[in-house]
Amino acid sequence: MLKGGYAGEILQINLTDEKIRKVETEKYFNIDIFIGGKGLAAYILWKELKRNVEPFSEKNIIIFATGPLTGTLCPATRMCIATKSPLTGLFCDSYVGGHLGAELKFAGYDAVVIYGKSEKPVYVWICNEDVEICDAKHLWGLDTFKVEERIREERRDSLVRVACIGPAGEKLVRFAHINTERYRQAGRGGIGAVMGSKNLKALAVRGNGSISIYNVEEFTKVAKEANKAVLENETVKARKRWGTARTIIFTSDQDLLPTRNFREATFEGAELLSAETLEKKFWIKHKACHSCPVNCGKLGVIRIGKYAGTIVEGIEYETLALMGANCGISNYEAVAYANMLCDMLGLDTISTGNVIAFAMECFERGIITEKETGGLKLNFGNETAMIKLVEKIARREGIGSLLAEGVKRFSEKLNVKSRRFAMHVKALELPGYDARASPGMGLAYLTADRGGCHTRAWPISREISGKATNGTLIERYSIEKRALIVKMEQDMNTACDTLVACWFVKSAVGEERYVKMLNAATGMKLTPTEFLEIGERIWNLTRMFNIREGLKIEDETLPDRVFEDPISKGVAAGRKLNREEVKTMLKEYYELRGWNETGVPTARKLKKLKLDFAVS
Amino acid sequence: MPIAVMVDYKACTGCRLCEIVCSLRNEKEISPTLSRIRVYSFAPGIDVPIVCAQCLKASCIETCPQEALNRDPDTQAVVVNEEKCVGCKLCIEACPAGAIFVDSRRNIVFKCELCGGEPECVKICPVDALSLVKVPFDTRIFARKAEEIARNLSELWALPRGRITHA
Repeated sequence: MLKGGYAGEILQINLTDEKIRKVETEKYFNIDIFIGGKGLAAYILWKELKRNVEPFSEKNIIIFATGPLTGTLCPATRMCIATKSPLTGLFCDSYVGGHLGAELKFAGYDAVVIYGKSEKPVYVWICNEDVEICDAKHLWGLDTFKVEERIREERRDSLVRVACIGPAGEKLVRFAHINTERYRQAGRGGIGAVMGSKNLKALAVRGNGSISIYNVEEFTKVAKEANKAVLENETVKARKRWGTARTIIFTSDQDLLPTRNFREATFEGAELLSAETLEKKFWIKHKACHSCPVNCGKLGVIRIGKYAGTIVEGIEYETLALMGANCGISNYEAVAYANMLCDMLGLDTISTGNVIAFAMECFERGIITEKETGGLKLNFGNETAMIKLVEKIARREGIGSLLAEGVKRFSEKLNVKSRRFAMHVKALELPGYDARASPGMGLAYLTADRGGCHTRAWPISREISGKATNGTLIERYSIEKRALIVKMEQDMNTACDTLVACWFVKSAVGEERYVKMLNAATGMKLTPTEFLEIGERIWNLTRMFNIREGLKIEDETLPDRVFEDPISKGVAAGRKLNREEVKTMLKEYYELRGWNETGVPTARKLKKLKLDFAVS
Repeated sequence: MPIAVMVDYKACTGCRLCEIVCSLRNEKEISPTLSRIRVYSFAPGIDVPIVCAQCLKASCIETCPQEALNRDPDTQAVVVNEEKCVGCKLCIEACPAGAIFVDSRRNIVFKCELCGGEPECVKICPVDALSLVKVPFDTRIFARKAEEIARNLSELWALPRGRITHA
């Protein structure tokens, strides 16, 4: 019997035959070994998705999964959305804050699993016991802001939480996101396009129920301590004031900032995109997701000039890096406007910034010309062209249709020489950290389960500070201990992703408190070691999923630019990664994980992690 | 001197930790619909917490036909006598802030009673948007509906087109 934390039921919605089923969470999966969130999503995708399903076919599945601490007093909890990615063809989990996850729990569900494909546009309405598949003809074609507004108006309730797609998702742009509350997105891997392929425009949730807690006194005590610890943390204090935008000066100073399609690693316009600039000129208030004391979100407004009327939460670091510096643009107003456009049209800003920067480099090298771009002068720094391209991508107009396929597929259609500067790992466009000045980040990109991603491990802070683990020291550009650091961080982050806890508070909260909160909320009896083992278990399961879907060791490589073009200026001038060293790190990583030399988890390892069912 | 929870609306981030901790303390479960404080959302990104202002001249007390609303002798907070309340909801209509709610399971109303003088919401608020203050005048002037406050904030921040949306 579930004692608390969980809502208790999982919703299965089949859009093909319009059947809706409610199943008991506990009967659906083993909570003791997968907990929830990413664990639940990984288990469902392994169990229920047939091998080699085409991501846009009706056989693909989308899972909206909360965790047992989502919606509670545990600081900063979120929701995990997972599917087989149309961009990478691999396991893809993307996370969204805001209030959607909590609302779903209050409605009485731990997760929603979407199967099949509707013949016509629909949206799913969930209000407590009442679950319906509703006509969405009137919403199709609308931007995400309007969709949310319309659904709230129709339901006469401003607290309805909506997860929806924009035109980009409808047009199957391979990096379309799912948007909630205007400014919070499950951004990466094209999850929005999978919704589009199912003719599912939105999921709208309202709940009036409650989450019960097994041991209220103990839970409240630990959760209050955790909230206090978060507020006392120095990194959090800075993030509270400046959000993620603060990172841009750091990365520019440290030669980590992708600039002009990762050609350079420091940007002369960084100051103009900095948190100080945004605080002075743009922000009006702080914003937080449900149960979060950090409030890293900043709401900004532009009242006059060319971009007057822009209101957007951000600009987040990744957007500043990829749509700003990486496109050679230093006007924050243009980046803010493009950011809002991406939010409305349904595009991931990391991938969008990447494909545009890639197209700009191709244009400057003469690989594509004004003939292909439809007259757009795609030079770095041309903000008007960047904004036009955003719209073209979202609507798949002209060259936008090629870019909408992502940087890997786009580069494969062009001159073969372009592939060496197509900045992706396993087809997922790289985020805002140049691996040439961070070997650890290179390994993190290589081994991340969803492709080139910064959220599974982020060894940069350890490399810069020189402090590895347990007081041992490392040199910034060396490869020593990177395998260990990356594995350790991946396991911890994955464990947190089962709860579902935000990465920004995890070190301040720490695994001990997470486990105490989990046990007090649910009545479980986990130890911190077992908790981290759950992270490792799920990491191995997503690995097995990816191998089943055809992941090869040859795919585990970085773009050629990282090995061939040295950084031209700044603290890491002359640096590039060495192919042999990267191979060495990877080999060490496989060994440490208990995987064979081709990166496949051994039967012994799988059995030890209670993943017997995944042994082939 | 009466005390009340005062709100700095500009500071609220919409995290709703106040709702969570309120329902945990008062109901031993987590539920926004059982919270005495409510955070309403308005696009674009405006958050408005609504909590009882503990008006000196209290329409709710005056309206209640059952005399189910009284002052707590220690804190002067307006409190509900659950024995007397029949769930007629006249107080809800009378409240200028919309800070009284129905417990549909028990068919009685509930509202902020200041946690006996040490409100949990004030303690948890991570941005000091909530504070417990002694008020030497009638706090009724602070009792406003969420929509009105959202409109005022929108004007204060000169949001383009002065436009906020809500149902």
